[in-house]
Amino acid sequence: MSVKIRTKKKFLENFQKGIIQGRRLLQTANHRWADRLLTDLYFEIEKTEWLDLQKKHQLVMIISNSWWMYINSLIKRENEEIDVDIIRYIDAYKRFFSFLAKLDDFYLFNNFATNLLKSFIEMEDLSQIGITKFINSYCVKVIEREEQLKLVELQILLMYLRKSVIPQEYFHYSMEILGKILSKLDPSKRALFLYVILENININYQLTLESDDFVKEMAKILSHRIPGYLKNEFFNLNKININEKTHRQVIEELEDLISYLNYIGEFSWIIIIVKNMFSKIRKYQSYGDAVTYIRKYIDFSINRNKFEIAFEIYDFLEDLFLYQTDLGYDNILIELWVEACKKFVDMKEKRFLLQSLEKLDTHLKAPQTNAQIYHYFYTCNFLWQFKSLFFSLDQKDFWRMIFYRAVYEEQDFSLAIKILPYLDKKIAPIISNPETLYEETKTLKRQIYSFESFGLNVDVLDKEFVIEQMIFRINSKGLISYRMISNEGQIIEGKVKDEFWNDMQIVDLYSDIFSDREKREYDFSLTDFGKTLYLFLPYTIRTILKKFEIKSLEVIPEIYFILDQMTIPFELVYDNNFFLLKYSIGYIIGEPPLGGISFDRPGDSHQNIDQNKKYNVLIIDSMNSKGPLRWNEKNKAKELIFPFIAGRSELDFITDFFANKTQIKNMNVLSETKSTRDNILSCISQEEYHIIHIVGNIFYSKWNPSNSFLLTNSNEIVKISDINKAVNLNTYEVKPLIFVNTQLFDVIGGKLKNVVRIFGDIAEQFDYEEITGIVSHNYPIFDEETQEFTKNFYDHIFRNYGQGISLLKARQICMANKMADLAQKKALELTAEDGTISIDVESSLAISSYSLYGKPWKKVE
Amino acid sequence: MSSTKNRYERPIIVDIGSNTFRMGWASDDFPDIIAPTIYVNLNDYIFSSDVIEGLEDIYLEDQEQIQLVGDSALKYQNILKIHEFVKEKNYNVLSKFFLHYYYQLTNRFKIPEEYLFHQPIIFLVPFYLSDLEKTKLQEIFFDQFHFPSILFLSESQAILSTLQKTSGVIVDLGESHTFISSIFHGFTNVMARDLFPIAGKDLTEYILNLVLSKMGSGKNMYVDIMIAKEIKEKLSLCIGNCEEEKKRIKEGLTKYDRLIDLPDGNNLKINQERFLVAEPIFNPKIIHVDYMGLAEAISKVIKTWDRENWKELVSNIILSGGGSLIHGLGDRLQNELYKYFSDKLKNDIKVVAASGREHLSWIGASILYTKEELNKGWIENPELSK
Repeated sequence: MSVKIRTKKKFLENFQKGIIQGRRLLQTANHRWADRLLTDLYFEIEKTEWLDLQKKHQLVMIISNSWWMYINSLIKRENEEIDVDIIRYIDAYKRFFSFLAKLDDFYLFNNFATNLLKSFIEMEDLSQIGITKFINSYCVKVIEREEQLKLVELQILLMYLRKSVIPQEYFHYSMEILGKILSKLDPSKRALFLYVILENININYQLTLESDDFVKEMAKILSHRIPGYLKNEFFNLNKININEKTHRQVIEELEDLISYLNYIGEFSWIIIIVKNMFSKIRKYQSYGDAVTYIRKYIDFSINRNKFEIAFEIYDFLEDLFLYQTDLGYDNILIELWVEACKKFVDMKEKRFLLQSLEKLDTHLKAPQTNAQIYHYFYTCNFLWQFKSLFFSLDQKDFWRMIFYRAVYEEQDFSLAIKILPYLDKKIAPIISNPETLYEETKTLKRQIYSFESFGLNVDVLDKEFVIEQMIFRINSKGLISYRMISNEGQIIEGKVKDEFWNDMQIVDLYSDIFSDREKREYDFSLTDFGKTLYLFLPYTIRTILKKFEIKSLEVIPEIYFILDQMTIPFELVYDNNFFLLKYSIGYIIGEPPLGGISFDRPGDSHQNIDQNKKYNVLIIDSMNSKGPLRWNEKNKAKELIFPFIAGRSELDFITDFFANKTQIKNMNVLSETKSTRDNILSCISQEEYHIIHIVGNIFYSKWNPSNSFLLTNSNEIVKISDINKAVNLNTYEVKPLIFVNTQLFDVIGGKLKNVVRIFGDIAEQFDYEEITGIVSHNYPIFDEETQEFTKNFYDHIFRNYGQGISLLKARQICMANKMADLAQKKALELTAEDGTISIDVESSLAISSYSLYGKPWKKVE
Repeated sequence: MSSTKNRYERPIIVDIGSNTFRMGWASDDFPDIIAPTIYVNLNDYIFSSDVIEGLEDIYLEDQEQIQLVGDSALKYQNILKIHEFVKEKNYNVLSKFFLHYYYQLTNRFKIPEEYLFHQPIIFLVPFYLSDLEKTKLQEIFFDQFHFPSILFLSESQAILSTLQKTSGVIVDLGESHTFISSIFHGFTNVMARDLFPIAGKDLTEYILNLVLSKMGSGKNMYVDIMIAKEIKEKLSLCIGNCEEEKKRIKEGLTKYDRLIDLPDGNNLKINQERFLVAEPIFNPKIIHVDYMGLAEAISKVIKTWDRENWKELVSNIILSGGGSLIHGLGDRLQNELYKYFSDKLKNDIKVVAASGREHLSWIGASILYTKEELNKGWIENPELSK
């Protein structure tokens, strides 16, 4: 769902205001209003459809943190004495838990409730009534979520804390659960399993020093209240003896138990056994052995699609590592969660990926040393890829990724310096000089973590492989496929997986550069943008493009993009030169045809120029230059609602241009009163035209782009589907080239901004078997450059060049002329003292705003 | 020594209203302690949820103090349920409340321990206070605290003495009661008094309803009784012709517009509600109370006296109590009263709205003590007499 950036900003601003106000209310003990406000904010998040899961989670975490920070602020420590405003503390906790209970995610509720419970256990003279009420209310939530293991754990803990059993519903239910699972096990394994369950409660809540004592005490407490079906198992607990000698055998038995539980579908119990094995190996062997040992269960559970177990192991490991960290930037913790993210990305597991990303974000603190900075940006580059799978990325993610690629992958330090201001406020000041940073850290590349990659082996592109044509298919499911064809007909194909195309930020940057706003948000030239766009491409694609050198002036390489949705024109990619000046580029939006792409005339050849070939041209004016009108109170006169001044000039120019061309056999101009629906459709469907040149406004229907329409001067609607149908009805063999110079509006007359993507939607509606292609120009620019460009483009078409090459040549000529003019101008200004200076020619916005939809090698025939 | 003793044994004047408590030394200009007559129970939370239970039992089990009173209670007004012990007639809390502030007062004046509870108590009471209630108070102050003596002083008498008058009609608009009483040359008349059914709390509820119905259900905005009370106290006013002003507001008059910042950051615009809030005083039917308006009720009280006394009474209609602070109430009441008296008396009608009228009775009692006019009516502690 596309939502205006303004709407998003407004929402986030309101959210921020709400949070600040909510925190203020909490600090003034106005819990009632704070609760109301924060809960309203939560509902607001939930009902906002355009927020993705991750953003929602982030915002919910902000609310949750507001409560948590406030609760902590109520505990005041002075000279080792703790002073708590108990009334506020209790109320805040109650409201906080009530908020957490509303969330879909039980993880937060469970975590906070467990931590609070742990704090109660440390209390002297703990109220038995209180703890019973607390645990029982916690059990209600646990039962709702079907967390059986947790229920058993809580009930046993409650009985331990009370030192007696209260024969209540939850207790009986937990015993039933225990009975059920034990009855599924081999009788010889039951006591050990029960022992593990009890021991884990002791380890989790640190109740007694020796687990054995705890197990014995529990057996004693429960002895008179154990249901008959569990008596034997509790009795057999005495027979379990775990010590240095027997622990290996016990671990083996536990391993078998894990496999068995997995086979019988009782995998939710596996995690306690894994944690138990860790504690045993740690106790009788070493910490390192224990960590290495339980890591193998990560893959075990991921391979069996038991992601919650894998996540719990990561969470468990995080807790262990946290004890050893100084709370600064910690590579180990970061790498732990990067690994988790990678595993969940590979398995396309959204829920735990989100939680892992959250964890990773928490640990990605501001780096201090250069080595940490390198580690930070290296991780951020991965983070971009991980997040791309399911979630929309924000500016912060985008710039961190681009910075890494600029410095470490392309060594483009000038661009890196440009990016610095857009990085995190905490990060930017740490980096003084990207080049020095690179020099000092480049050797770390060999030591840093990495993942196995199945990308392209660039060695296959040997020196002899001169690429002539290339097809890229970028789909929205994270797959980029490519097909390269050499000048000798050799073909190389491949796929890049898990590269999700998230172009929101780059489109934002593009719109900023092409906008007519006086004050730009970004200080980027078109070249900077081109470089950024280049870095935005995945590493593998960049590697291929590097190999895509122009080997011969005779052969102009062609690139054909198949996209689900139009994105930034790839012509603007800059790798020491703009693509628009190097390659013949064409696009097709939507699925490729079932038979694949046919290279009906590979390569370009214009040798068989038929000098006598004549072209028929149809010019359609839908500029609405006579109406509709509206009253302007200020000027006391009527004015055009959709004025298109640049279009008027272009229409005059193009009419004049074709009129003077000897190659034009017949020219039909449907302008002024002749621009009616009937005229337009009958001309297209019944007459033979090689070129259809449309100048005018298009009104875009986002619900169904084929219903987008031209408004004729007779105030009638001509839908894109009508034009397409008319083209199909035409019985002549000629497949017209459609040149469209438009301004885009939505159906209610609002001017549209993201014109490239929108025109892509419209272009998708045409049947490309029936037309040669569509050249679009969606910015209302008409100047000498556009005139020159149009002239050169058609001249090349008339000289029987392919449409892509005609576009490229037209651009090249424009640029060459521009460069010559500039050189002349500069030369006049130069003095002897200046010595040598370089002339930087920026590609002009005008010539970079043309795109071709259709196969670039096709010719007008 | 004797002067020191006198200083420490000066009577204490206590006024326990349904909304505010006032306490201070007799012969002082102003009460030393003014506090809200509220209390909270530590385990009586506004917010109740069964998501997590037992926290009160765990954290509060060993709390000796189970109630907080006055200002300490007010601190938790958004967390704990506020109780008003005067309305509830909760004498346990009343004694606790009194003790709390008594210690505060005696500490402030550094009263030696041996003089604690040695001061006579002057209690300001409304005319409707029953003998049973007086006995209950006596029990607390004599049996529990062992004060030497108590004087129950009528609020009306105290108010009149403040203004140095012997005759007048006292209209006391309190939070939970509004009463009209009259005194003529020091004499009271049991027939010449009235308990008017509209009090501050009714007006608060009314303005809340006005605001809520104005907001409708379209906007996601909350207003609660506490906000309504604040609006009433700070922005309410009395005007002559409500209907005309309502019409003018509709036509674009912005004079009455006020923007209220709600705690959640929203803004609430009010205008006509500001003057509509006071209308039930003059027409109780608006809030479905079948009773005459305040002006008529006052006129009836006056007319209970002989006709020749009316002139003196109408010229001394005294407003007191927090509810009388509504801006313009005095003028409006005066205009309304014209309807109920003949032209001859009209020029004599005078409503007195003295500044600081919310504490008028306490100040009056202090003046009476200074003038040594409170020598009669003291009840001695029978225990001590023995």
